[in-house]
Amino acid sequence: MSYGLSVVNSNGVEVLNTERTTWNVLDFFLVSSSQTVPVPASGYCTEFKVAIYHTVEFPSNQEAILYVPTINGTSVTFTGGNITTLAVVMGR
Amino acid sequence: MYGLDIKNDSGHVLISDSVPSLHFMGKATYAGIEFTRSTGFPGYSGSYDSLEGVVVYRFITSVNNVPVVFIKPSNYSLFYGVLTQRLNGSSWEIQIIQSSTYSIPPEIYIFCSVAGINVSNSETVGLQAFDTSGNVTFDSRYPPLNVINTVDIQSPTVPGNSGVAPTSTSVSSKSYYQNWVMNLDYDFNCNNRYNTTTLSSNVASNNVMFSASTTTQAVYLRRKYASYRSDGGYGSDTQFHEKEYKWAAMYHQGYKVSNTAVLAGWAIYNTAFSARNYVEGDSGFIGIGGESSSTSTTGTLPYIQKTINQISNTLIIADSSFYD
Repeated sequence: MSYGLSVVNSNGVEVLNTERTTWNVLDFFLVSSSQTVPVPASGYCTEFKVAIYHTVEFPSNQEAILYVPTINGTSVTFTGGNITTLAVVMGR
Repeated sequence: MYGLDIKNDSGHVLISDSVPSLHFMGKATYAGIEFTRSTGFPGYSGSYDSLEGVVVYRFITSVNNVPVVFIKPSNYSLFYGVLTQRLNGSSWEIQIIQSSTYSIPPEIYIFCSVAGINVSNSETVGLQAFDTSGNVTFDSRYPPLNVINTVDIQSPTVPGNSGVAPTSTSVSSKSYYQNWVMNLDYDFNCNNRYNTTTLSSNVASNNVMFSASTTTQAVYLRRKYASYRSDGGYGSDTQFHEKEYKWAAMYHQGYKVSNTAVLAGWAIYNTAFSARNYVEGDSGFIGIGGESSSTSTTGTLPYIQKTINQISNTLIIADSSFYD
């Protein structure tokens, strides 16, 4: 790299430089009903993504529908689910 | 004005006093195989009974907040995914699903914010960033996540290799009742069914690891029904005969990842089989006889044939060699 920032450890191994890219965890929470929540740190990051995960074994007698996130500007809306969903909001 | 805000050329936040970074905390502890199954339909033996199988592994990690899980496959020709991720007491329990009965576990790399890291580090050189409350948001002593690539991808709707959903068929025929109805004619395997996105990276093929939520599930069912009415003969009443056979598979999304492509496909999570035979009662030539009915069912279906939770997931690719 010809300019920018490089972070190295005491062994001289580079752990990060500004040519790279990353994602940062802004928030995480369980979703058990339809809801809209503000996107944290929305004034700092320009891109967001919400990863959702199953938190329980699949029920044997029903559809396990996750709450699906939709990001709209500075808020994220979860809709349509019937089981508790782990949401991880990331930004960069 | 105060604080620290470092972005790359794309304007993405790398280090900030306001945004917690993701750091490598260590590898999750392998806690064993949860189950191996789906190599066939329980209670059935016949055509199309040989299925590729599935293994679900269990891992545990102690993190003070949510872990972001990266999977480094032990076999890059198979499909993997996070089946469930949940907090159990003070530990996070992670189930990883893998297609096939191959049983060497993948390696699970755990990333979280500095607040979640509960392992000490004696390094005295580096860079830290703090928020206004004095909490560390970046700490170079714990390797930060370096993203190689991101891909938005989803699995095809129908998991079966043919790409066509199995159907329900009813026939009124003695010959179909005697043979056809009892034999499966649909391939429930899904090893060749996926969507592909190509990518370019200079990561060594055996160092690729990925993080993605695997949300999509599917249940598909093949139903065959045949009936006929027999002649009475010798003064007997006619008899109604019927058989109903059902084969079903439940699938869960998985990913096959290399340094040149990402494939979003499926693994067979479970199977079920049901056989019902019924013969109508008959007073018979000498006045004896009776109805005959039997039903054999193995496994259950959580819902009727469909694919659910089908959303486009963002898959993050990283180089495991940064953290080994």
